[in-house]
Amino acid sequence: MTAGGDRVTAGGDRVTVGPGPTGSIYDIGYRGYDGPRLGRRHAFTTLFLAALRATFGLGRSGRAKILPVFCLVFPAIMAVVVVAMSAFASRFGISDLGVLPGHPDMAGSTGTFVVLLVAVQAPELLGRDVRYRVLTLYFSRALLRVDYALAKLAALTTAALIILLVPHLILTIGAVLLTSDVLGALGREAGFWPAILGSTVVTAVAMAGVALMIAAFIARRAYATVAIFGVFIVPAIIVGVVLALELGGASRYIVLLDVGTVLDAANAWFFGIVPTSGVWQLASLPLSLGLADSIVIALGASAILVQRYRTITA
Amino acid sequence: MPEPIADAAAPLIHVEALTKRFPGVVALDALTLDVAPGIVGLVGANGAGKSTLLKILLGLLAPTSGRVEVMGYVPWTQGTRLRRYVGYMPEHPALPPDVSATEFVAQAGRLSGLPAKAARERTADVLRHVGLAEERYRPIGGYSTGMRQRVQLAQAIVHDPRLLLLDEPTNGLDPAGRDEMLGLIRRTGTEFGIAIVLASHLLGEIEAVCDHLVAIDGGRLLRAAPMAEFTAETGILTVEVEEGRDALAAGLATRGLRVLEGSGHGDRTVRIALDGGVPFDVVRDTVADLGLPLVRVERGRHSLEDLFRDDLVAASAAGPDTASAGPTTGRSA
Repeated sequence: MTAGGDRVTAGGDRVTVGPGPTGSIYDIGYRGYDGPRLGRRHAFTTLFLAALRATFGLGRSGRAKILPVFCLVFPAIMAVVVVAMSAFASRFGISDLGVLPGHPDMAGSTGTFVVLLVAVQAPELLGRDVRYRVLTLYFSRALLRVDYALAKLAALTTAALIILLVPHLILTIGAVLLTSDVLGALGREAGFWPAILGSTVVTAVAMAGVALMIAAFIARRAYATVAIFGVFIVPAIIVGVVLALELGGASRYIVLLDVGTVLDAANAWFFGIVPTSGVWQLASLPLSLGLADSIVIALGASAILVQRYRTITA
Repeated sequence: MPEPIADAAAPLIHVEALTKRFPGVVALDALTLDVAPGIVGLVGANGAGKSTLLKILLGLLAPTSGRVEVMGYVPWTQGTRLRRYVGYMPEHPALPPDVSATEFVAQAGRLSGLPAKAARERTADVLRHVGLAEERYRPIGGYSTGMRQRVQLAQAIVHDPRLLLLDEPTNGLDPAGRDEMLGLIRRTGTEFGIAIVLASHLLGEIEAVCDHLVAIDGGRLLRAAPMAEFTAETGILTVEVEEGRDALAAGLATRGLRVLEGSGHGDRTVRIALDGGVPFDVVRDTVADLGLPLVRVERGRHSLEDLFRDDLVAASAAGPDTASAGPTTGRSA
């Protein structure tokens, strides 16, 4: 590299780099485009990746990363603590590990962080495009309104799934690394994974779907966030009161309105355990009904979200 | 290989008996129109149905009845494929504040079908063309109205569309910004070879930029013709003098010219009807003989505004039924 912006290449040719003598950019004129023009799938992937990045605050300010990182890291730390405690326990010959939370217990604690994430990020993903009329520009491109809604749903569901799966992954890795019987541990852990995947997928779709459905109707971000928290919390309170009153009859079916409790029942169904919260037992309904209701909530919310975007003014 | 456009020989825009009803209002009423490539002005008062027509051409709205084809595609059913070749600049600002122009325009390119690398390259190209320099890396929220409009134009041409639909592109711009935007649009249509439909209620804009004009009113076609027809020369010659206007009028009349009643601007002009040839020599001689200080001799032209107003008057006088029975084909080539 010599001074003056000239570069001598290996062959000795001088190649001028940077602005020319006049310092102005040489206008090469308008160039057309003859390359491939991809279709809906490409547009969907673009929207999906952009929304997934936005959910974790990637490419955004540092402030936007605080909440997603917290929601991702805190459950992971809890899982690491569990692994560490079981390592201590086995080192000191304590064989009774039943007191430590395992795979079936993860949904209850991690779920709280997922609610936090979707309540804050669902309005972020949808509200901005409505408030600033950006939807018009999205809909005028090579995609359908449905694609837009489904890409956002897929992105938020994926984000929720990542947060839900990380603690399970840490527990499994810990269990395999900390034992002398690696094959036995692998076998035991592998037995958990169908239930883990079933439970986390249902939870992720239901939570992301409900949050986006609400955010689709409330353009103001703060109000939407409050409404989403409300939908996850208020029914739980009402259900608790109604069940405590022991009104009998059909009143116990009110528990089906409480998303958190219903997902807890679905989780218990997948793992074949008793639900961790006592509310479902108070209602004394079959766990399979909890699973069915979870699926109805997940699909119903997604359908309402899509329908909303088919008709929304843009 | 790029997929060929459905029917390259198809007219750019073909609209036949297009009707669009919203609850309680008919936005477009049996509109029939053919548009060939060029810069076409779509003019009409607010509420005339311009935006509705553009949205139907894009496939964002379904027609109530009638036929619409754009480059051989039916917009409402083949919208995703059509929109890879169409750019749209909406009437209202539609940009997110928290991303940079580079980021937004590149994403727009990908959403219109460009692979990621091509989208990045073309984003740099079009942002330079619309005149956004260093600021393109800053969040759009900090841009002036003029810069935002440039970003909106950039996102509409990033995928090198065959057709560009512009809805009131100078909305909210000051006079200087307006001229710059119109210049950009003119360049886009001529140098870039992109067909443009420019909707505006400002006749001056249409006159400055477009080579064809489609006028609609109340959802009906008022008139569609080359711009030259709207601004053709009139049969009137205007002569302006510093003083001695009446003497000039009398002098011209005695030399056999038909002097029209009333004057155009102030009381210093004489208007002469042109019956056949243009009598420049007679005017010169008369002015010289009378020794008058001549200011100008000008052949009158229709202003677009006059004609549009005349058309409106004629249309409303003739009743709504005959208004749409006028020319049904905008242009043929």
